[in-house]
Amino acid sequence: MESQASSGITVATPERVALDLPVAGIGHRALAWLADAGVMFVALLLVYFVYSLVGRSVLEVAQDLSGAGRAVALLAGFAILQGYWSGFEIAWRGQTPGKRLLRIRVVRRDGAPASAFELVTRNLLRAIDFLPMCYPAGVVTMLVDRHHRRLGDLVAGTVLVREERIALSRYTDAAASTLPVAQFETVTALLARWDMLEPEARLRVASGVLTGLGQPTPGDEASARASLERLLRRDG
Amino acid sequence: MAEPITAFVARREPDWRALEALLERLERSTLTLAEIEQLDRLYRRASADLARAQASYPGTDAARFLNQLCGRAYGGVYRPTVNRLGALKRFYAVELPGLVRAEWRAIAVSAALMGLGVILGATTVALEPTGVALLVPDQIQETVARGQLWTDTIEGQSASSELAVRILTNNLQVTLQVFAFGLTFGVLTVVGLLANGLQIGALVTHCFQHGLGGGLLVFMAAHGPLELSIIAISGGAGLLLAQGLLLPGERTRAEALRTRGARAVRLVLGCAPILALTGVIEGFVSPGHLFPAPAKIALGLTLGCVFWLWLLRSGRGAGQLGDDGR
Repeated sequence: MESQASSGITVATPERVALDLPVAGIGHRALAWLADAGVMFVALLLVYFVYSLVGRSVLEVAQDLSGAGRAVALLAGFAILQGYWSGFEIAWRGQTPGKRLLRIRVVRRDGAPASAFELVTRNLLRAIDFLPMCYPAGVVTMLVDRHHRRLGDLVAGTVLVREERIALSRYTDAAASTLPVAQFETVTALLARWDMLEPEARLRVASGVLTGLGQPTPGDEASARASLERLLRRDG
Repeated sequence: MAEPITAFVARREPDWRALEALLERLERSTLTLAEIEQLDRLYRRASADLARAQASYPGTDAARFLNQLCGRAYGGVYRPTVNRLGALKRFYAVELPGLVRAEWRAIAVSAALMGLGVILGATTVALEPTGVALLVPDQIQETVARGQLWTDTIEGQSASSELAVRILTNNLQVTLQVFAFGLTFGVLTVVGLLANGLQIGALVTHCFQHGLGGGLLVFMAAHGPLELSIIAISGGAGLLLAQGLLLPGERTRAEALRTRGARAVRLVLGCAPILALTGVIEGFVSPGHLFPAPAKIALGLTLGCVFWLWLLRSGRGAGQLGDDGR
């Protein structure tokens, strides 16, 4: 538990259990941003080409716009960018396509879903985090902050959490085992890493584990594995 | 003695998977009443399982799985309420005016800074001939020297049209910047407000020196009162952010920034639609001679009066706001 809680936040729910939310670091956030930037870039490119095929060149149109027209176009551009971030985060409950890909989500600091106001806030302040270009302000804040939040998150009171997918197969695959939990975890962890270990190391570690469980010391690698698997099949 | 972890998982997993399936459906669409009741039941059972796993099987994948599942379900069960229209009406009728009245000091300081800038700009240009070169863009100087207002040629050639766009977008930029730059401990907010005032003062004085002042004031009349008010409010919001950073009071800086930030953002977001309105007026009503001067002046004054009457009167006595503006 200790290692899990290092940069996580603990939330007490009304059901009186402590939830431990794992906070997303700069790596996750940067990758999600790259994915989102890619999506936006491709979308704009598509619009550009389709429009150029159907109508006139976009650049020509832009040059012919009157002053007011250009101001409207500028506002529209701002609205589209904001709409992407805030729109997706509101509709997808704290996720954009990039965040969904990286399995991270914006939530309030107390773990509850962020409201539309909070989501819009953090995205409006994106402009500040972006200063002077490509988020140095945001990155510095994320490095300093314990929960890797950027300025927009600090003002909005939001934080990005990871949504890990954790498999239960290690339990369902050995459903008949009645080993106590600590031994069960050790044996399954060792078997899961079996192929990654050097042959000598396998025998050494397996002997240690088996001896600790009161089992005879195995002669070779294959019998060590067999005894470990036997432990999971029946009563230890 | 706790039951073996494998037995625990085998016994409870069907419920967890059912909860997962419900949450997936909840994220895509809405649930029926029976499903909601089931969600509630399954979530509370999973919470109990989590508590049990934390006690009997700490640090295992099963505990982590349940932690993850309950976290997801917690987000699904405790969703914010969604009476959007009602909340919006209440926001504009009660909350926003209340916020403006509550934070009038910051807004007044912001307006005073801009006023100070205007006075400085005007006196500089009036008393010091070289001040014009510093404070008024070259293109504008050329246009004014020809006896023209750049605002009149807004539909004309590209040079002055670009200029008009710059002035138009400049105000929008200033509005957003003075707010967001509050995070620089207010330094750039103060500079931005002063600079904006400085430019207005310098431009108006410069035009008066060339006999064009009346024309410029007419141009500014339709959108000016509303737009300057919003810049002042936005600057006040920026100062609120700075106050959270510099003078957190009895809270931690992060906490103070969050509570003041929530108020500041409400101020700016609330004003954004009105800012869009001024942009439309500035783009279509103010330039050219489509509308006569008295109409522009009347429109500007009416909008300004209505705006401030609304902010100062609406929702009075409707109860105090919470400290975080909720």
